[in-house]
Amino acid sequence: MSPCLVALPDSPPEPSEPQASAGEAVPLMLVRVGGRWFALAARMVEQVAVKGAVTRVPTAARHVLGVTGLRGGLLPVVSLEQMIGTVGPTTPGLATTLPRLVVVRAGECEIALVVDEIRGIIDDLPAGATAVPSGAGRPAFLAQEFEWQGRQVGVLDVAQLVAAAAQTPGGA
Amino acid sequence: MSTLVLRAKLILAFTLVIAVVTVCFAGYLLVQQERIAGAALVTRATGITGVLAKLVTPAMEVDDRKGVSDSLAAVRDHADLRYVVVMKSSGEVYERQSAVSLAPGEELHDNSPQERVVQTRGGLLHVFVPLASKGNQWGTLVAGFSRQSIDDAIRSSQVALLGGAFFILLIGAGVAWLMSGNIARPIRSVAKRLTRLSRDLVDSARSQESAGMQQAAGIEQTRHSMELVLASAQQIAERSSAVLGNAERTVAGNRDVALRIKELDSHAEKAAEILVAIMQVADRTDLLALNAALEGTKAGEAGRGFTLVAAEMRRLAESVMESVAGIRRLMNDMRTASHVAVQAGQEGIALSEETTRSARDIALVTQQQRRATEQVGQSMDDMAATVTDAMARTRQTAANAAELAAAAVQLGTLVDSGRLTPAPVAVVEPASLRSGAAADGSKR
Repeated sequence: MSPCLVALPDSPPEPSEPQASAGEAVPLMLVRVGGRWFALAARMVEQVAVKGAVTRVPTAARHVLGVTGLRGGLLPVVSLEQMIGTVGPTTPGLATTLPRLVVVRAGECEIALVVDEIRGIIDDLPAGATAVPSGAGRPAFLAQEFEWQGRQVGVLDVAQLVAAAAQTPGGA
Repeated sequence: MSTLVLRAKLILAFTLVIAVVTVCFAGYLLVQQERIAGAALVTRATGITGVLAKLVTPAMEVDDRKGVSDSLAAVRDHADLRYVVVMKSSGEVYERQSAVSLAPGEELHDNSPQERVVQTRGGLLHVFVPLASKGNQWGTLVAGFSRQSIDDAIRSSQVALLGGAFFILLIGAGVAWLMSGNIARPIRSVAKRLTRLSRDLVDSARSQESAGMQQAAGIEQTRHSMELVLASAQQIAERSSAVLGNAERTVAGNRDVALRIKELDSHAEKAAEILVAIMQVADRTDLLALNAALEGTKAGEAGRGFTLVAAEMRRLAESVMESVAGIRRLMNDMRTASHVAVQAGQEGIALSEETTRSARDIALVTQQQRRATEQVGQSMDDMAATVTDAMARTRQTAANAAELAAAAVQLGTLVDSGRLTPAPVAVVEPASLRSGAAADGSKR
């Protein structure tokens, strides 16, 4: 298990929601997992890469697919779909590319998220972004959502996401 | 020339035979009777003359003329005795007695015989008996007997014989009548039967000939039909050969098409591999552009140009990926179409091979049909020859039957109203025979 994910359980990171402070744009990277779209703070993304071979780690959590080698190091590969739940089937007509890995960093911890598509980077959070109502089914790392080109896009908090990846029952 | 019925001829023949036999028998009887009567007369004459000689001889010995006369007078009234003359040895007539009607010269005076001599001369029976006793011949007794008794006997026999012959003739004629009836009736019956049978035979031969002609016509029609079938079979064989050729060419063409499609498929796979490589390059380029955009975003304002270039690169990559995806879709469509074409080609090959096999089977069956048709034609020829032979035999039978009928008619004519020299009866052939013979001659 990645020491990054092991060190997080007792000290969940603070939420790092993109702040729409006056005059400061928050670039967001739009990604698709299954039929749902999500946005990540671009500054939290280290890089994107092609999902290569993932080595399964025994006794790892279900959402932890394994580890992969990238830029000379090993990174845990996390399934966003497993963490979020039902994401729906891929809508026909969406551009199909090779599965991607979005390497995000929260402090000293880096994880690679598996996504189906990376649409691109938008300059800022749209003005109509709304908060996702809290409830039993709402993940902690999913706080806002907005509409973009007719699609509902959920804004992921990377720190919360990384913490959630470490806190899911079954993690080492 | 008188016309005689066969029966009358038979009666006449029988009657003639009986008459001839009767006449012959009557003549024989007359002859026999004359002989017998003559022998009886001779016997009587010799007996009488013997007795007279015995009576006269003693008188002659003593020269007793009266005694001799009395002896002669004893037989004077004999019916047959015409004269009696006693002559001495010297030739002198010693005593004589004769019938009144005796003609001169009928008496014979001859004393030369030394023994009894019987002569027939001049219609009388002369008996010369020497009168001898004690070794001395005193003279000769000559008696003449009339043959009237013989003539009377013959005459009476002739009457009886004539009557008997006539009676026999009548009986014979009646028997002949009966026998001729027993002969003519069966002959007439046989003649009628022969006529009927020969006519039936002619009719049968005619019907057989008609049936044979119908059979020959049927055989000819069958042969014509078989020739049509053979011609059709030949056309089918030619068409099937053409179909076979087309099928074989189609098979070759389909195999060539399949080969070409396989080559296209191979090229498509290579193109797909190249597309995969291009896709990977495009994908890498996209990722590179994304990373570049990320770095540019993180650089803030200073990295805006870099971000723009990265965005362009992403669009270029996306365009390439879209083109690759489109090409891939197009190639998938092409591959699908080629697979369908290959499948269709294989189905066409299978169908063409099936057609080829069917065409070969048709050719084989047609060949067998042609051979069978030729055999049937040969059999038809054999049957036609057999029918022709049978018709010839039938015609011969009909001719024989006609001749038999003519002979039967002739026989019947002879029985009923025949001629002494019957005219030849023409043998009339049935019209069908004449026409059949003519047709047979023209066919040959």
